[in-house]
Order: sequence, then C-alpha cells, then structure tokens
Amino acid sequence: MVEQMRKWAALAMIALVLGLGTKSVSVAWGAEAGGGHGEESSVAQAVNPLDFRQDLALWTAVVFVGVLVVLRVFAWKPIARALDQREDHIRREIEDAERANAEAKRLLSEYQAKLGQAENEIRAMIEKAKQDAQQVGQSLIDKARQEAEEEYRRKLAEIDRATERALQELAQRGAALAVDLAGKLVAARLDPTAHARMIEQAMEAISRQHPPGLN
Amino acid sequence: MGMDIAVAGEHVKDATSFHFPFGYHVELPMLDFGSLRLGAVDLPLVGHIPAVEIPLRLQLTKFMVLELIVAVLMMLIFIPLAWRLRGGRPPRGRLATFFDVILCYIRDQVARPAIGKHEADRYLPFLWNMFFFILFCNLMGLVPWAGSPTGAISVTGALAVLSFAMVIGAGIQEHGLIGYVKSLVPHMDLKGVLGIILKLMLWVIEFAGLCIKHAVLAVRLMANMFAGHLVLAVILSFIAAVANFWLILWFGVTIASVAGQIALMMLELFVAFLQAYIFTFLAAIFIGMAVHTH
Repeated sequence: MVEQMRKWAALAMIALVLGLGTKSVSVAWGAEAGGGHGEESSVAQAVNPLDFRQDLALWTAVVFVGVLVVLRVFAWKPIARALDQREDHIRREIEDAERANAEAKRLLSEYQAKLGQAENEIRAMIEKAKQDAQQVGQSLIDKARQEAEEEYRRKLAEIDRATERALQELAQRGAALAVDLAGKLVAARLDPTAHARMIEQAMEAISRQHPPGLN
Repeated sequence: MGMDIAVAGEHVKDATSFHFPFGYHVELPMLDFGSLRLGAVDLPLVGHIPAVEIPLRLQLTKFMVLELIVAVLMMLIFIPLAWRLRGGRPPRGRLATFFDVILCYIRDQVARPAIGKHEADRYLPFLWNMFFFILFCNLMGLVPWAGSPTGAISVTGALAVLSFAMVIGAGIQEHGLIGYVKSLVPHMDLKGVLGIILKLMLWVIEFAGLCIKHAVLAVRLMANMFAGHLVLAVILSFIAAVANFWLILWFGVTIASVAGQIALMMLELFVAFLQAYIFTFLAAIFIGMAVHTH
C-alpha cells in the first residue's frame, strides 16, 4: 500500500516537473513566435514539414556517406565476413556431428551384432559344457557301478573259494579227527560219559582252530 | 489552438539552438569559411560568364549536431561489435546479441530475398548503414531535448536521393549504362515507328515512377516521424494551454497528458523501428529490381 502510494507520488512529481518545464519553455516560444507574424502565417511556417533546406540535406548526405565509408571498412565488411565464417563454422560442426552420429550408430550396431554372436557362442558353450559334464558324470557313475559290481563279484568268488577250501580243510580235519578219535576210542575203555566227553572235546578243538565267521 | 500547434511544430522542427528546461538555450554557431570567388570567363558559344562569389557559410543546426551524434554512436557500437564477432565468434552480451540479431535479420530477411543471395552481400553495407542511421535518427526523437532529424524532409530527401543513386548505380554495374537504361522498359514485341514511340513513352513513365517511388520513400519516413512527434508535442502543450487556469485543472491535465505521452512514446518506439525497416526494405527491393530486370 505504502509502496503504491510512493509510486503515484513519484509519478505526480515527474508530471509536475515536466509541466513546469513545458510551461517555461512554451512562454519563451510564444514570445518568439508572436514577433512580427500573424497567427496563421506563423502556424504555416512552424508546422510546414516540406520546408526543404539544402544545407541540411547536404550535411545529411555527407554525414551518411562518411559513416558508410568508415563503417564499410571497419564494421560492415568485417561483420559480413564474420557472419559468413560463423555460418561455415556451424555448418561444419553440424556435418561433423552428423558424421560422428552415423559412425556411432554403425559402431553400435556392429557391437550389438558382436554381442549377440558372443551370447550365442556362450550359450552354446554352456550347453556343451553341461552335456560334457553330464556325459562325464554318467561315465563316472557307470564306471563306479561297474567297478563296484566287479568288486562284488570278486569278493563273491573269493568267498566261494574260501568256503570251498574251508570245506575241504574241514573234511580233511574231520577225517583226521575221526581217525584220531577212533584210535583213542579203541585205545581207551569206553564208557558212555567218557565217550560223550571225548566227542565234545574234539568238537571244541575244531571250533578253536577255525572260529565261525572267518573265511 | 493554432498557437499551440505552432508551438508544438517549433519543437519538432529543426532549430539553430538546443532548448533545455527552465529557459536554457545553447545557440549553435555559424561556421564561416569566407567565400569562394569564381572569376569571369569568356567561353566560345556560351559567351561571357560574370564572376560569382559563393559564400561558404554554414549555420549549424540541431539536426546536424544530432546526425553527428548518430554517426559517432554508430561508430562506437559497430566497430567494437565487428571486433567481437571476428572469425565467426558468437555474440556475447545482451547489446551485442541485440545488434547481431538485427544485422542477421536485415541480411537474411531483407537483403537476400529482395536482391538475391549472390548479389545481396555487395549491397549489405549500404542497407545496414541505412537501417541503423535511420533507426538512430528516429530514436533521437525519443531522447529528451533532442529531436528526430528524420522528421525533416531535407534529411529523408537526402537519404532517398542516396538510395536512388545506389539503385541506378546497381543497375548500371549489373547491366552497363545502355543495358540498364533499356532494361527500364519491359521487353515487348513492337515493331516500327509506333513501337519506338511507345517504348519511349513507357520509358518516361517507368523513370518517373522510379523517381516518385524514392520521393515517396522520403515523404513516408518524414511524415511518420514528424506526425508522431507533433502529436507528442501537442499533447504535451495541453499542459501549457491550461497553465493559467485553476491549479486543480492544470494538475489533472498534466497527469492525463503525461500518461498519454507514455503510451504514445511506446508507439513511437515501435514506429521508429518500423519506419527504419520499411525504408531499408523498400530500398532493398528497388535495388533488387534494378539488378534483376523484369
């Protein structure tokens, strides 16, 4: 509000000063214009815009041509040249930028193609590696299974052999013992308890020599 | 009222002094270089020519001083600008950009379309010079206590004559003297005496048209500037007209008048640019017509 009032006050002051200035000047003009002429003639004289004055025209031509001659050398031609140079410069810049852009696009597509190719290659490699791994694993498993089977067979064969040997030995030992026992039986006086005890001892002796579960 | 217009006209017209407020005057000097005396000669055929004495005196006027100020301003603005733009540098700063835009506009939108791309650059210095000389002279009218030299027919007439000379010169340079004189008449398939007479008459009309076009160039600019400033002065003189009435009336008129001044000043600012543009544009078109004959 105060700001507004201040503005209006300033405007009024300017108007006042202008008004006073015009008033004083107009008084002076009035005195000048009033001297010696009638009102109408002074109006015609003061306002006639077609009042041609040779000295002013000549002065104007001289000043204009002077300015033209000086500025032609020091301003207009250098400016025209500078504008042309600027245009050339801009044109070149645009051409360079366009070329660089095309180059960049070309490189981009090239790299994209390369990248795609590489991706395919990698996928193939991974696929192959997977396959290889599967194959290797399978073969390992097969081999292990085969080996285990072989081991199993071997052990089985060994057990068979051992059993056979044990049976053989048992048969031999049994025969020897039987012979031995028969001899002892023959030698000793036989009663039923002693008889039973002797058989028991013989059996124990066998089992001590060959504990069950071995072989 | 008649007196008011006389007073206002006095303000718009050229003068031998500068008026400043509160009655200050600066009287401009009379430059006196004596006189040039040409002795009497006797020529064959012409006969005796008496001696003449041409006075070499020049009364400096307000408009002459303002034109000098305009010339100095142009040199102060455009020589540094040329230095700053050298080698195709972009303009830096608001003022440089402002003038750069106008220079480019006149070259690309006025000179080249009107004259043609190849020939335009030859006439560019003249057109630039014309535009800024007129523009600065027009704008001088908006400076307090200065005035618009372009509000005088002597000034615009001189500029139009220079433009006319430029047009004729351009035509002669492009087609040769005979070629240009011939090119004023459009090509017609007319034979015999009648054809010659018709072409001669057409030539007279065309040449008169060329002169009238340039006279109109001068009058248009002068009338625009003169009328605009006259209206400004008249509106301002209303204050003086009511100065001897009641104070309250004088105060009201003063405020209304100043408000009107501000509005019209804006219009004048626009007209200053517009008229400089129109003068330059038409000069370019006339040059183009001389360079490219129909």
